[in-house]
Amino acid sequence: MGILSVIRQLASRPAPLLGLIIVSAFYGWSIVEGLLQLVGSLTHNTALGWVLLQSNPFTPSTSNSLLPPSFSHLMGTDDLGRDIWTRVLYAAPTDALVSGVVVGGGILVGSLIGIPAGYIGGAVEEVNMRFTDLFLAFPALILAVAIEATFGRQLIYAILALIIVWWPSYARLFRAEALRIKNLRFIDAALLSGLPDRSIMAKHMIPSSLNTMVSYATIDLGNSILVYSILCFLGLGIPAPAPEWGSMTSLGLYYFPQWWWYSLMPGFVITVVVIGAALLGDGLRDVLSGGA
Amino acid sequence: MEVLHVEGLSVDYRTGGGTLHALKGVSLSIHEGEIVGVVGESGSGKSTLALAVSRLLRTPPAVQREGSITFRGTEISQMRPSEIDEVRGTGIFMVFQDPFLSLNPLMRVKDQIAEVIAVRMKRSSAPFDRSSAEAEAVAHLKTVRIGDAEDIAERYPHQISGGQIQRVMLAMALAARPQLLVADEPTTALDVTTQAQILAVFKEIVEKTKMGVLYVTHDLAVAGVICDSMAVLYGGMVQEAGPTEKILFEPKHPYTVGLMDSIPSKTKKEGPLTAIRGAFNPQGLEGICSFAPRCPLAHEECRRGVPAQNPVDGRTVRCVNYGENYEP
Amino acid sequence: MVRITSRRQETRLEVQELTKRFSVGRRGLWDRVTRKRQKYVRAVGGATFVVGAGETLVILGESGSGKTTLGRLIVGLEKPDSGKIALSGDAVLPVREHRTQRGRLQMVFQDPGSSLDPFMKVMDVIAEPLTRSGISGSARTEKVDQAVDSVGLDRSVLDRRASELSGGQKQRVSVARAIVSSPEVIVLDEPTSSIDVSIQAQVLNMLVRLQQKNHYAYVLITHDPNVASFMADSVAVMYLGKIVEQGPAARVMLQPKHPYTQALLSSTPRLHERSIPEVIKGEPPSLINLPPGCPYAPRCPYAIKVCGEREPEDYEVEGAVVSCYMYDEDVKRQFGAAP
Repeated sequence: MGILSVIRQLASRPAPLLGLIIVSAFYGWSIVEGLLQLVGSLTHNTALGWVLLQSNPFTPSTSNSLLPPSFSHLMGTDDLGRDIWTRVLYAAPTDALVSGVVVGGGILVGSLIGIPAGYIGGAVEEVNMRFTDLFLAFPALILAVAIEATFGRQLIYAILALIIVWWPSYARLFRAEALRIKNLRFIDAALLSGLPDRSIMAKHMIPSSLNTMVSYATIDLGNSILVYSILCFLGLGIPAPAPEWGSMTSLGLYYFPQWWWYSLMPGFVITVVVIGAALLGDGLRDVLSGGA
Repeated sequence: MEVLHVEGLSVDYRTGGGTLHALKGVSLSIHEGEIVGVVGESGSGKSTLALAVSRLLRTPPAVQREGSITFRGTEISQMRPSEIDEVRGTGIFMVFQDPFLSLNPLMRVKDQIAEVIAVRMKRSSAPFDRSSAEAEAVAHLKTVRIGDAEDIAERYPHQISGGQIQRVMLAMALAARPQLLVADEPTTALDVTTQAQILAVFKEIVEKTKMGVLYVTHDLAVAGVICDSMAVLYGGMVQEAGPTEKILFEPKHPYTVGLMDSIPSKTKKEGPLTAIRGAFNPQGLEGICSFAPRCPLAHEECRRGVPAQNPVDGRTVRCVNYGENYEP
Repeated sequence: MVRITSRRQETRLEVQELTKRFSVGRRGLWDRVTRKRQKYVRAVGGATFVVGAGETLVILGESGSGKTTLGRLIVGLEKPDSGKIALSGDAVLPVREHRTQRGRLQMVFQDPGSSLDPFMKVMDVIAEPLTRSGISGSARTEKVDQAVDSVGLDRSVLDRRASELSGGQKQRVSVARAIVSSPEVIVLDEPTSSIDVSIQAQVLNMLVRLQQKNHYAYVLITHDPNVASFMADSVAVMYLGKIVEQGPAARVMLQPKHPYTQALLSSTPRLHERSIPEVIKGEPPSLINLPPGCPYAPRCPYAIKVCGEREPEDYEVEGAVVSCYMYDEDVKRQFGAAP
């Protein structure tokens, strides 16, 4: 069914609608802001990064330090007097990027490992799935610590660590899908048409699998943001002064509970986005499976 | 004694994609010892009717818009689930198409039949004795001509075949002693040779217990063999209804005629089959005869309203070619 | 061993002594160590027949008869354990190992739901057999258009997704896909069993018309004797993996000689009949490790001692081939003429 029809059905019930709004707002904003930041850093005009924001997220203003939420500072200010809402908005594209790359990377690697395992079976399946089991056992955080300790604290290494622990679940999902699809009659028809295995896998298994996985992947976007935020919270994200939701939440703890907004506001935003993704993913599952 | 009376039953399915009118004003009656067939293809509403009578429709998305279902004089379509549970089993018993979904996979055959006997005992306030119940279960299995009844009684459902499961269901019907049996395509999933055996057993137990049967099927030939009277369903409405003899040997409604002609009864050398053109489309049937888009005898009167049922030669025919009467 | 030779010009499909068995259950290490016997299901045992251009052979059988496996063997989706399959003289190789087919052999499947990839556009579904044919661009579009026209569908259906079609439409698309590569042989496995009877009539008419025009050889697999009678030029009746009777359609369907064929045909409810003779007792036994002798012997009313010991030969009876001791000369001498 078409995208418009899916959106219409999602919008017809309150929970998926809310999820749709939250996720669209989050990624929509992140794309715009992210492009501005990217162009800004390429053209050495970093001010582009806050052209849409009420103030420069980096400029300290000690006189405004630790102000509670108000109309001029929706989420209050931090210890250096910087508007928290501005910093939250500025940091959003990072999380959006991480979620997209990690889930996308997980799907990519997972499909390359899982689909041949399911379709070809035999030794390929054994090797691939045992390899998957190996990686399934890696704890994300320890791995992230290890990688960043070795290579340094950069966004790219955090993303890498996350992709490494993310792809095994997708490998299993893709394998299960391949197993289900390979017994369907249209695969026999493809064989009779002389299609080689790689064409069959690419042409027939990937679209079907992706369709099955859309709702899981959507919820996963939220999960990846959560895990990444935890990494940042533990100090494994990009170093200060760059704003990051997880780091902000962590730093804010020093000022809890008297200046509660510093920690809770970024944490609240993380929660909202993760729940939004879950609601949307859940709604998608209902819509795509044709349930009422 | 009238076991079942359905009057003007209309059922809709309301989904995110729109409303489907599955049944429109369906009426029929079943008496003791009578096997009434409901024949239709996909989209005719026949399964909805079987589920509605058994009160197994999922509501939502199904909604009973109007009409009544009366079981032995009592209206059951508005009953609460707790009241319906009392009716099911010993009042109305169901046999469905997929044998492998009918039995509890974790219980032996004899225990499932004994369970039905226990319910029957409880409802008639009689004491339940396990060993006599098990003996009765085996007796019923023999009545339905299951080979090695004692052996089968000890088995689990996955250890017996589809045909045997359907026989077990009939044995359970014997144990339940219902007044009404609702059977929805009970032999469709079985081989022709097994089907022949089941149909024979079916007829025997109906003769013996005098229960009323609602037999839903797409197979006109099977209906012709088993049923005393038939209703042909198309587009959620009864198009032709009456004694089987009449309908089978002198079908009047163009759909009934077309359906019979569709069944291959000659060789290709004698020419193509007389097929009904087009396919069923639920859209655009408001206020006209549902069969008009495909009917070889359709003319403008067919689109003036929904035709009413006309009594013709001992049965009813919903067709303006037999009387220009319309539903209000 | 007797072969039925086709009367028409060219032989399109020739099958000789085809057998296939499947192993049942997994043999783990322990089973190997304890030398546990591997169980087998004999799906097809020694099928032999010939189909000519423009001819339809109907394989008539119930579930468990092996008819689907036979169909899959013919097109190469399964690899036979022994026997030969030849397509117009060329050996048919299993498709999984040899993707050299290029659409000379095609198949129409029973279940419309799984026959077409629900996410593909209909035009891509129909064009798939042409992917390795070297035909592309406008020539390909033309062939697809022709195929869609031939099966009586409107060309607007080409842009729709396969999942949006009805069962009858899906079967037509299946047929369009089967004919687009101008095959020599089409195997149709219960092509109308999952669709309504009124649509079935349309589809059967269409299949006959297409065959008259393009001279495809059809192998039609069905359990429905009415469909068999309508479509067949010749019929092969299968029971538990074995072809028990085969011959010209008129002969087999109107004057069946094998006890199973007789029982099958008289068990089928015919329109306008109001009773069914119950002729076969019992149920088909398990296909696993079949006992020796004729597979039908346990249920056959005419079975004698030898039926349970050795499988009967093929005997030629009035223009057809029947695998039953009743038609064996020695047995006939012993017991008198066959019923």
